[in-house]
Amino acid sequence: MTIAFFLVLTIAGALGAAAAAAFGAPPSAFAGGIALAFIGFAGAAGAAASALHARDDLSEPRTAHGPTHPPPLPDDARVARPRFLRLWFAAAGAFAVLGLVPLISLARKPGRAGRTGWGAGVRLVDENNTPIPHDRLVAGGIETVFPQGAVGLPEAPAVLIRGDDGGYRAYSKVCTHAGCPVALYRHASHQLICPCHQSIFDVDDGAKNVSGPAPRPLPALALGVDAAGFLIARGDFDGPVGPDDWDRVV
Amino acid sequence: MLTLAPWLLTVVLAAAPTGADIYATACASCHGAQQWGSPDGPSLHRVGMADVDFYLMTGRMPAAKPWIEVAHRDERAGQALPLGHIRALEAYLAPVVAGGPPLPEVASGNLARGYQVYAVNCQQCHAVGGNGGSIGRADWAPALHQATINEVADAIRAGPGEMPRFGDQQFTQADLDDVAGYVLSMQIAQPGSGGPPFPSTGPVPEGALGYVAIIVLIAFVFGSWRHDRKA
Amino acid sequence: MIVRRTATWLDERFGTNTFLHAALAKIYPDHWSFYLGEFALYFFMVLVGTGIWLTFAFDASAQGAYPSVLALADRSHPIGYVIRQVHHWAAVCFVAAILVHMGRIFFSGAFRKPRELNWMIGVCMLMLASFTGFTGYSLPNDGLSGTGLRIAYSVALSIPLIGRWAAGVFVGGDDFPAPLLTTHLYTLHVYYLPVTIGVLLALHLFFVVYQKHTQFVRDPKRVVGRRFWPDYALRTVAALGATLAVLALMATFFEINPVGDYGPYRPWIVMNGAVPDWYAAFLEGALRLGPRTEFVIAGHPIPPVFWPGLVLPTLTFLFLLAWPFIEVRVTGDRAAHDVLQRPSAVPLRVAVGAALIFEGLLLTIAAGDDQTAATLHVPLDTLVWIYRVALLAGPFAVGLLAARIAVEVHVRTPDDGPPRPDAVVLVRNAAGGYVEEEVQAG
Repeated sequence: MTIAFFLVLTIAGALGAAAAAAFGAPPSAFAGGIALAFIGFAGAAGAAASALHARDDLSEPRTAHGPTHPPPLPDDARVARPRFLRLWFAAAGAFAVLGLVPLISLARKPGRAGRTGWGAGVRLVDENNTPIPHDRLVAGGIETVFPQGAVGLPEAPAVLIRGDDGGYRAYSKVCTHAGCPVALYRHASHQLICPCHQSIFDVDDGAKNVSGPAPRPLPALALGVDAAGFLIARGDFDGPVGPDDWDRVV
Repeated sequence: MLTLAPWLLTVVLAAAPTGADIYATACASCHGAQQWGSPDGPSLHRVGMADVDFYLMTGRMPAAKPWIEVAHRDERAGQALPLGHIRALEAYLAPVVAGGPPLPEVASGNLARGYQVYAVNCQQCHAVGGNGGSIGRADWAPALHQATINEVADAIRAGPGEMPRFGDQQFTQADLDDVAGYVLSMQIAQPGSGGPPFPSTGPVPEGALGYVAIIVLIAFVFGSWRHDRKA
Repeated sequence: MIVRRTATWLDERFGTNTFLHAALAKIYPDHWSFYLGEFALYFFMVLVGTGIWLTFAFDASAQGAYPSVLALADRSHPIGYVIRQVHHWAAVCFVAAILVHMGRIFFSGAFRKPRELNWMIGVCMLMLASFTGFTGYSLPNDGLSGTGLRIAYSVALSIPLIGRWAAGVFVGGDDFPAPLLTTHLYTLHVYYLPVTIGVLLALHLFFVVYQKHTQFVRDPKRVVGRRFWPDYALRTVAALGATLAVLALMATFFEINPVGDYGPYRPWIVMNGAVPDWYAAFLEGALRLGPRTEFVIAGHPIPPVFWPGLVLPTLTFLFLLAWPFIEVRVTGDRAAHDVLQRPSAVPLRVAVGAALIFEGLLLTIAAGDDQTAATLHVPLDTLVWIYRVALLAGPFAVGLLAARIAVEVHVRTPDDGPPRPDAVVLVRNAAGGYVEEEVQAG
């Protein structure tokens, strides 16, 4: 009887789910129907298994693992030490070398572009490529900025900060630990924090890495104001952007 | 009658405390009698009405326990003055705090644009969905689920505590309306929700539920056939 | 009727009836913990099934990925919504089931000779399952998973000598994010990784059937358990039903991975509380606790992410892979075993297992150390140091404690007695009486 109950549940659930899907019911109705169907199915199979009252102490012999001792091969299947054995191995080795060629060709060494888009006279812009006037931020403010015309470059983003003294600072937004954006700014403590692994950079001290796993400070961008009153960079970042690698020789 | 009227007026007026009275009882012990601050509380001169309104309206100030650091997770744990008292206090402090960000106007704006602004400027501290998050040391950027639109606008303009300040050149009135409206929209249940499936709060509870599922399955297998005949 | 006729048709062409007869009558040892591997298998089957459906809905290009997944996250289209939810829940549960199953194998000694190869296959599948999950949840190119990919790119870059090669292959280009990244992740996720898992899984199951399952019943010469048909078949089908039911219940009541909230990935945008799915969280914790020292060899930097991000998981993987051989070296037990042990029977194994579990749990918890610090009002710097000390000293303390407990438990456990004899014979003794004698077949 339990089995019958569960099987009815299964049928109701499955057909209900199909109907729910057909009539555009919310996803929970569809998923709920499926859940009911499988609860019923599991219950029916489980009850049927119990109803067998089968024995759990049936046994059969385990086959031995080995080692086995087969008879020797027939005479015509046996081979004496082949001639030119070393040449056979050399041929196999040569194929292995050839096989490496397509594999190595896949791994083209990338240049790790290293272009930041910044340079002397390049205007700071926001996400929409709008230049930043010198009175954009209030004291205690922060904005994400890019070099004009290079908003999408991965090593370009920088944070522009206006300190309590009214002066601007800009640092690379790419964390020197693992490359997350260093976006958290505690303006009262003058700290930039990377939310990924909690590296802390001191804004007043050249974004020096004062805490956390970042190995180097954030490179800084020297700033100026152009004739039209917009903020510009005076050059590129004063150090390499983001985490290092073996080929970025110091 | 005419001679009684001024007397009645005085009684009625005296029943409501003035801003100065409220300040003296609730604020002066930490912020100083002349609002210049003390070791227990900062100066209020030129902080701006947005800042004062934020702290008072969210109930963070007056602090329930003086001398307790207010940057903890349960920040709305101040005395939470009634609205009339807050307005009186603000009126009293207006000349002192002038010079900082004024009380902002705000109305809900374009939610799609607001989401863009939130993603670049707010999400790194207040997290997705306004759930809040750690900001290092032992401090917390609060969840935004209880914020009113005015509190949001106040905080954006004033930059209370460790929060940066977003002035009106960086966030125009339209930007402010958009992002404040978006923050409000995060509090409102989506149409059709409120029932299952309940929203996710991140990979951590998702992973925990995975292990709950394994435990449920083990319980099923262990429990289903415990009473089967054993040889 | 149809079944019988099909069987006859096949038998006339392939001689299958003998095999079927043996297969249906085969004996399988039964214990609740033996179903753990089955749960993992069923989660994998669900992943493949739902995954195939999803390949028809997903746009594998960098620009199209996020919008196509957003369409699936739309609750007004319940079928796609439920299938994607079940797929992601199944991935979360799949790795959990493998880990729990691996724990059962480890603590009961099922990996000993002649099953070392099967253990190694299983460890490989655990790694592959984690990679498949990671590539899978990175496919939508959303803000959360994109942050994780950026970190993975930095870890690949950090490898000495070949860092840029490795990172370039992984990302398919010169920088992160490369235009082909999503497409590469897609082919990894739907083809290379699952096919490899499938092949290894087939081998894994074949070995279990061919070498016969281990058992707790102490009879080394015989397999003791239930007959496959209809007994064990019904039970395993019930387990399948339960697996699917649990997944459907999760999809009914709990949302997973709300990509609509995370937004599309942009390299300059990040969210607070960004952590990976649970099975990669130990790496996240390791990265947070790792030292900041950047070694420099002849001008070439080795970034600090290299040690926690790559060396740690590689050493762990190799250690797990080699464990059957390590244990043989230490205990000197080179015999083949088909009978399982109570965990407490081998204190060394309990110590090592407990230490590994402790380290894994600690690193996983450390992935949320900033939230823990704020909740407990403890400065984060202090908490990091506490975790570091616990990481280095903890495994020894936990291992010793676990070994001690194992020894005490073992001493107090009533012995099962000697293995069952093959026969009991009555023997006439010198005094004329009859005496029972147990005989073990040679």
